[in-house]
Amino acid sequence: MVMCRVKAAMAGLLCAAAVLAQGAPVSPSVEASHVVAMKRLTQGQYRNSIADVFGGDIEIVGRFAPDYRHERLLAAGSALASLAPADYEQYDLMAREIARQVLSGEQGEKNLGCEPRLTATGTANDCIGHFIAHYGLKLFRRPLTATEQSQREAVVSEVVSLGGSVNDGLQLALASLLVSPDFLFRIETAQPASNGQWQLDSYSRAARLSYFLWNTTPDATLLQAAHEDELMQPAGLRRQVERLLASPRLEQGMRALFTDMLAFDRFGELSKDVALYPAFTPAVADALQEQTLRTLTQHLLDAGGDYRDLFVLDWMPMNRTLGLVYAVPVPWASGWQTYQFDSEDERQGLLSQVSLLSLHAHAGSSSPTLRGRFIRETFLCQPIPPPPADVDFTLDEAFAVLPTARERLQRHRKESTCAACHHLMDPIGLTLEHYDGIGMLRLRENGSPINTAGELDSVAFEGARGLGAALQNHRLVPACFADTVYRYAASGTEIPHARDLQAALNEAFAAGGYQLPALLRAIANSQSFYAAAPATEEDQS
Amino acid sequence: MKRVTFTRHGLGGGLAALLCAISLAVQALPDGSEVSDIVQRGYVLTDFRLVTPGAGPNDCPDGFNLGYSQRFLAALPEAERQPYLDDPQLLQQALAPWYYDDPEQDPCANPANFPDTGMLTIDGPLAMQRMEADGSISETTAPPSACPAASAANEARTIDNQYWRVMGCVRGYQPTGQAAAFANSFITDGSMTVLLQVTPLDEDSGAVEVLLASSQTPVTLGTNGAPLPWASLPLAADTRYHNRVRGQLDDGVLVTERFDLRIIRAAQRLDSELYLRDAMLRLEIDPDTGNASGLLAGYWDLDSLAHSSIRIQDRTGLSSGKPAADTHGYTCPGKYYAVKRLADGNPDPATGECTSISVLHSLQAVPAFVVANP
Repeated sequence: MVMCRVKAAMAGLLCAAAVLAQGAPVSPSVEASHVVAMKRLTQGQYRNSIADVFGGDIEIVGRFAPDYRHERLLAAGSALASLAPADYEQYDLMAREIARQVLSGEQGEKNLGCEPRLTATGTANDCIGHFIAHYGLKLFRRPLTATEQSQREAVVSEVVSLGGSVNDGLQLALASLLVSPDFLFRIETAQPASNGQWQLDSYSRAARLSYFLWNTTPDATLLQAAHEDELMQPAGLRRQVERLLASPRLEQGMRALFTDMLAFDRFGELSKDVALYPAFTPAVADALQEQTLRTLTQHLLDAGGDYRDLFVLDWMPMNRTLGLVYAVPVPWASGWQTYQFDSEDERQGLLSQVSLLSLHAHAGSSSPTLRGRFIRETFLCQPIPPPPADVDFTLDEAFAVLPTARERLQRHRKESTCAACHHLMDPIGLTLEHYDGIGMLRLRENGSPINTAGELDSVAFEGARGLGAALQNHRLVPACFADTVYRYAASGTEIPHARDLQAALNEAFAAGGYQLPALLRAIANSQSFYAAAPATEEDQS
Repeated sequence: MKRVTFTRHGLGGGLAALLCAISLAVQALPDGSEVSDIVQRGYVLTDFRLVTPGAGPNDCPDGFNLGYSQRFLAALPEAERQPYLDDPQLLQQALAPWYYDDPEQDPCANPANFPDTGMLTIDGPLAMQRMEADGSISETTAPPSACPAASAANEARTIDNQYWRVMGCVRGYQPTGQAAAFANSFITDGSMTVLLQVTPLDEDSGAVEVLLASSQTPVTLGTNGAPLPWASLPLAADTRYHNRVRGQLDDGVLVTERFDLRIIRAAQRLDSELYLRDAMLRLEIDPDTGNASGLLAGYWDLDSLAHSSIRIQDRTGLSSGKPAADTHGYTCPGKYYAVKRLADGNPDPATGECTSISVLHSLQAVPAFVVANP
């Protein structure tokens, strides 16, 4: 009976703590500050943050709220995502389970490092206060306010008064931090600068930098730099940016960027016809994502390669699992090694990798349209509108007797309502028709030879090699990448001073030989990156 | 469009070096287009089974053989049978032990120590597939093959399928029986992986070297449950299971010279080998799919046959021969003596008795990359 009362009281306290935290002033030390954005942590960011704060052996059990993609990026969608009550319940369960693991057994004693107890007057001792402040700073990415601190200490006292243990109370206090919007959302606050412009405050800068470059919560050094306002000064900011760029953890951050940019989250819902594509096993589905991420990190980070050359690489990381999809020999028994394709091989560049080819295809066939759309939108930043509501899909069935996709699409484009958009996509996607619905090589479709001629913005070419070369030389490709990386980094829907910034980034990217670190450095050191909209009267009130 | 033909990267000192080379030749394209005779090709077997065409209406005039259970029941007065039919466990207990601790007591581990219980075989003229000396397949009606004189050379003989005559009146060896049903489970459960590699020796004459070898790496299964093509599979470490022979490849049909063949014949917990003497392989390569199919004919060494197909010794050292024989419907001594009676290969110069029996296997294969054992 006592435990029931304790649990009910705990639930009430937890909700109250969350509500209080949401309503509490975020940074009372800066009177004029105001909240400019709330960005919900993505699943990956949540997991990385928990691992960094509490250790990698913490198990996270629960269902995450689905991430929301906006303008091709989950990062941009994070600024629009909220939490439904049902989702909040899941985060609540996760928070309690994490708190239990953190404070249980030997690991709990180690995490505490002292003896938590209540004083004779029923208040929390220093050990409790230190524990809450320590993890509060790491989880909220800023120091707790006095109110937030005292609320959590009061939670411990309340639980004990209801018959629970101090450890129960601490678990509840920790869970309240984990379920608080200040943890689940990156709450960015701005303050006025000396020039009258508004800019992110120090701790918001630290979080933005850390999630951009490492996809996780700021480490102790970055929080200390924020505490000392080092990030508000160009020199201090550069020091921290260089430190983050030099860290091996940069790879984790860039994998998150590429995963978002290439929409690899869609693999979770990707299915293929098992009769047509028996090679598309779960092991293959996992390996092909890893192959592309390895290609990107090896070329762009390890080798410092030119971004544009991604489209004409003649090598790929390969393992035995993928060898049978690419139909190439893999003599090494386990792990990944570089496979060098023959100079004449059709496989060349990122676009001939099975990850992208299978993701942008139908369950039972390839799709020049989906592939063309993906390339337009992802590498040229040219959004294609969705098909009109009154599109006549019965036409596709009538054309199904035609043996190749080229013939079917040519007929399709004769319909004026279809032609306007399809002519932007199909001539690109048809050049990849030597790859079936899972990216395996084929030369015929339904017995007919496949013609892979195509064009991109008036440049004619053939096959994946031709497409790769066309993209390598397309002026919009690096600019689109710079724009994508910036929008990912800012994780916002509205970019202040976007046009000037875009020009500056393009210039810096070009000057840096189109190397990724040059672009990252230019963004992270740019004052525009930390610019914020001024506070409105509503904000001030 | 021809892709890469007969790539020789890393070729140095013969086949071993070839196998070590990373750039083993790219062979038939995945869609099978433009298959060229001069491309080195590798395959993995996806189907390997005895040719058991099924008994015709007149082939077994005395019916099918009986297994241990059936014999036990048949020997009982009719009134006493019912309890055993109602309770299979009772029947099992009555015929115990099924696995013998003492091999000397096991009629399957040492069938020669036991009297011949008799086995019904197909003894009349029979029309069935046989491999001629030139590798072609004939199917004329012929009487049982006889054990030749010790001086006769196997090379000039038609390879019969006398083993089918031995097993033809066994229920479990009919086309719908257990033997056929489980034939490929040995491949798909990862117990038995067999590789084939065809290496051109002379582009003009069509001369090739064929490597038929075991691998201890399981095949990779697709979402449809069938082995996938294009896997990279290493050779078994034990070179006894690397069988090399010269052959001739003309118009997509490969025929080898005669060779002795030893491959790992593992199945579930069984660990054995198939040893054929004076074998020949005929392989047809489908230009549309790049797949291959064919027949492997040869003379099954009787000691090897007794070990793997009568004794059926498993990895614990126990014989599984008795339960296997009962499942299929024969007795071990009956089969042992029938095989000796119908043996038609490799006569012992001293005794004149044949020491092997002709047998025919069918096989199917998909393209694979044969790589050296790391």
